[in-house]
Amino acid sequence: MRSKDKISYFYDGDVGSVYFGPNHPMKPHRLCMTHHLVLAYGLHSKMEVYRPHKAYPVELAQFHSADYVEFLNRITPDTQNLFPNNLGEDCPVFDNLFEFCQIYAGGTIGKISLVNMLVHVEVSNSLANKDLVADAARRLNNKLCDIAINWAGGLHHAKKCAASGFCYINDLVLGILELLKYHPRVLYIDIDVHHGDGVEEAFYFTDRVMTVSFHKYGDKFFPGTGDMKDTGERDGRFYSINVPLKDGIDDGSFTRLFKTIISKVVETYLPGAIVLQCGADSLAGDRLGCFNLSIDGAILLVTGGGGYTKENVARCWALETGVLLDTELPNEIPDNDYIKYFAPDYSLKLPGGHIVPPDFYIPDFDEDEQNPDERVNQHTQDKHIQRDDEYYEGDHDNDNHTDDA
Amino acid sequence: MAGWSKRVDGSNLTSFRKPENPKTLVKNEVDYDSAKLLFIEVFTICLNEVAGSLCYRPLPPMLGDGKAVDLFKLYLVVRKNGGYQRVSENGLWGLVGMDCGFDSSYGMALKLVYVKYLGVLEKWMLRVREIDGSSVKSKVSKCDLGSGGDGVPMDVELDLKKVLMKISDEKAKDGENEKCKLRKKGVDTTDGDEARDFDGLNESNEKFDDQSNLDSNVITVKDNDETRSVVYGKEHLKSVKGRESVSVLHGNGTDESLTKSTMVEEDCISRKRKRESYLDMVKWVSEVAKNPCDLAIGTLPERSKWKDYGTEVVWKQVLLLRDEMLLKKDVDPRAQQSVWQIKQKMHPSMYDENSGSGRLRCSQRVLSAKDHLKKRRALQFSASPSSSHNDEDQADVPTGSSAESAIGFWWTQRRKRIPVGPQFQADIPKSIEEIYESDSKWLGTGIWPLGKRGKKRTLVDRGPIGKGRQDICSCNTRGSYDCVKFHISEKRRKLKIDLGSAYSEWKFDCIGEEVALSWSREEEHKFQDIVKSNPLSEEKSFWDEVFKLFPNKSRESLVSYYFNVFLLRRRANQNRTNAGNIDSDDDESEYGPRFDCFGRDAKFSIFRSPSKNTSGSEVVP
Repeated sequence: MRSKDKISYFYDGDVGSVYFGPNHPMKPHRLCMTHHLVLAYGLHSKMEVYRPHKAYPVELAQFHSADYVEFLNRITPDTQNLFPNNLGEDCPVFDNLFEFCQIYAGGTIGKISLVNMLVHVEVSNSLANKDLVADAARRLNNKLCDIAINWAGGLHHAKKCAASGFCYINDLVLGILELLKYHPRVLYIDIDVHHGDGVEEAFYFTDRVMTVSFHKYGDKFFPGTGDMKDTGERDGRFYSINVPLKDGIDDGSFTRLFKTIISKVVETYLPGAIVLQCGADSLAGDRLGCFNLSIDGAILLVTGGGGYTKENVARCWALETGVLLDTELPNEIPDNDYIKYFAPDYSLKLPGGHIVPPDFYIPDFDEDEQNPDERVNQHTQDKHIQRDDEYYEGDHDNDNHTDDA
Repeated sequence: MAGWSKRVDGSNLTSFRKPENPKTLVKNEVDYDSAKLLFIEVFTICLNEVAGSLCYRPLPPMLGDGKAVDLFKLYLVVRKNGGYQRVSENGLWGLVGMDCGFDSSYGMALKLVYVKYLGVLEKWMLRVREIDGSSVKSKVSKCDLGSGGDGVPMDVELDLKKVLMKISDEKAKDGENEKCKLRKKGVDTTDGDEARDFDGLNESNEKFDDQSNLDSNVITVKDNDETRSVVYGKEHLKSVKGRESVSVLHGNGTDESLTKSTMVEEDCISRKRKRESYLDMVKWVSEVAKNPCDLAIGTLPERSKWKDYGTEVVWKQVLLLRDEMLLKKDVDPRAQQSVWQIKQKMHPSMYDENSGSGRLRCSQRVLSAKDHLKKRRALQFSASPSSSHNDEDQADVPTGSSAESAIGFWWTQRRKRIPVGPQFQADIPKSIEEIYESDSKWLGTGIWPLGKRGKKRTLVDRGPIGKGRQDICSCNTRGSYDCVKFHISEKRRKLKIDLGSAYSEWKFDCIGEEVALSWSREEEHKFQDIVKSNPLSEEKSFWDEVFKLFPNKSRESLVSYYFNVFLLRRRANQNRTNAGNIDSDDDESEYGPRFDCFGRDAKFSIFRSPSKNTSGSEVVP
């Protein structure tokens, strides 16, 4: 289906040697491993690979405040004490910080420039052919389908004036802003386990970007935003969709949820382009398999995101690259320099289909001990009462329930 | 009844269920009803005492299909059958179900209800008994064990009365009971400044500043309780009752609140003949609550036209009642305002006018709830079961509404919201540009496929795309160190030929254990020693030392060595020693918990994943 499409892939060899510092779970080295695995599978023969330009500070300032960009540009581990550090604990200052930001942002912006160029070519072709194309975008949706991948990007927590959750520069926002120059509507989908707060925040007031985020929510899970009831404001009201999830949602449920929501969103919103943030810290089952079905016909930009176990990130993204290339990858990971990381079974998919085994959330019927703030609602409780009725068919249940009452 | 009346005088705690016209009732029924009232009263107190704010149980309990359970009856029936233990052991729950007026299949549900509700009572009674062993003991124990009497066992009533008496005595004596606390706080809060102490809710100051005296304060609180309860009544009638009785207890159930509360509780507890006229209305309200979009309910006219309708219309009755109840108390306009909002939202037709109906509904509720909540919180209504309810129903507020800021403070306490303002949102490009100005420099550099430059026509067999690892090889000892090494380098060679110039562009010459080639054996040992002698658990970073002791190597190359050689080798060792039991990302964990030193003090850090972490390799699931 997508195999005829033009797939571009961004990678910069320098990114692998960026180091956030000891103990920091974010390891750009994972990008190196991903790329290596992708190549070991031979997927490069199906794509164009670009080295991104390093985004200029002025490009970064399209979204971020100039002061903040300047601050990032200047700060180094040696001089960080000279600045009031507003980066926070999660975002250490490390060597090449700014360059790192420039690379991943450049990748995202670059791929969007690329896509925009393709759009342009397509539009001018159709004009030259004197086709009566009233709606170039529609033609675009029907004919041209481009996919760009930048696993280095997807740093969705970064805010306009602040860093957050390992994210310094929000390449997604920059990319979407670029897309908005040529597309009336852009859809942003976030399947990172964390809420895509930076992107949602940036486009909270506009209806030209619809943000849909699937994320774990509650229990003070980072970043704490992403309530279902946050739906945007002003023009953007009802253009932010949050799908808060609890631990233990399985592939099947997620897929169902995802398909239902995304197909409806795409159907009604008719985005000209879709930006997909694929943080590898959520379920690793066939996440894009269902995606492919539901978004046939729009430009697709895929970025990385979270995911802090190097080899699993590599697994996940290699698999997804394969999916995007419409290539089924065998489960046996081919020999490569990092093969030892993939022990013990050296397989692409982890047993059970989960990169991160979810700790299954079994709703405890007796929720009284819990924080009242986290309580399930009354309807749910009532349902449980009803359900218990079914569970204890007959009188075989001799447990003394008074103990847990 | 003497003792009963006496208590009414002695403590207003008990006044909320005072029967209106006891003399007209048949003697027998008085027994049953008063026993039942007593029972419910004790039970309500019990729920509060035992479970406090952590527990919220709707009254009356409802089964899955919406049938209400008469707790008193259930209690009696279970007693008759020998108590919980015996009923469970003998499998009599089906029988209990039938005795309670359901069919036997409800047995298990009733058991559940018993455990959830009456189990608490049993426990609590035991506690009370412990406190005051002598007088209550015998009765209570009788009560617990159940002697199997018929009809209305007097001992139950006696038990309950005793217990209740004891409670009210204690409470009257003890100035520390909640009611008094409430009073005190009411007084304190009127001082304004001191309100700061309560929950630190500064915003509550404004609220309380204009409350000049204790009385108005208390009344307001009470009002709020009622108002809120009724709001919920629309949504969720069954939950009202528990709440209502609770709130009345807390809100100094004086006579004014009596009429109303009994009215609302009508359905729930006693079904007094006197109040049958209310039944229709309550029924209607509950119907609306159950099915707000039912067309049969019809539409609510504009507020201005309400006058045109007679009292025979049910919704009008509801409104009148509301007004009545409000007029009785000299409520402050704010409360009235919120009540008005409740009215406005009361009818389903309101939903229809708004496409975003759910939102409006929620918002309205929130608007109406905010005052109560604020005050309740400020007054440290610790036992407020409503907080959970409101929590579930947190909703958005219409943008720009004046309520926004007022509500803000407890929103933010509850959940983190997206901040808004020019320093947060992006500037959206206004128009769509027609012509694309190509600027290829932004595209970066095309690395692959190779252009004309550097492109070699090679005969390398790439193999099918996505070819996996072969299980079979011709090495002498498959899986040995040499075998693995051989296949890796074979693959590397192939890739190198295939990629041509891209190979070095992607720095593939600097990945994997190849990196070690530029390191001398001594250097490698030195590196290893440094890492081992600097366990991370001591918050020391080996990197400082590494950087210091390898002055002639760039930081990049050191990092590269660490990931490409050091970790890889260690992983290889682990693979061979304890394969299958490897933490998937234990690069550093063997030197101690990885996240101890990082983000430790960050209040809201991505590291903080409260339910798990610290031990695991994967902080962020």
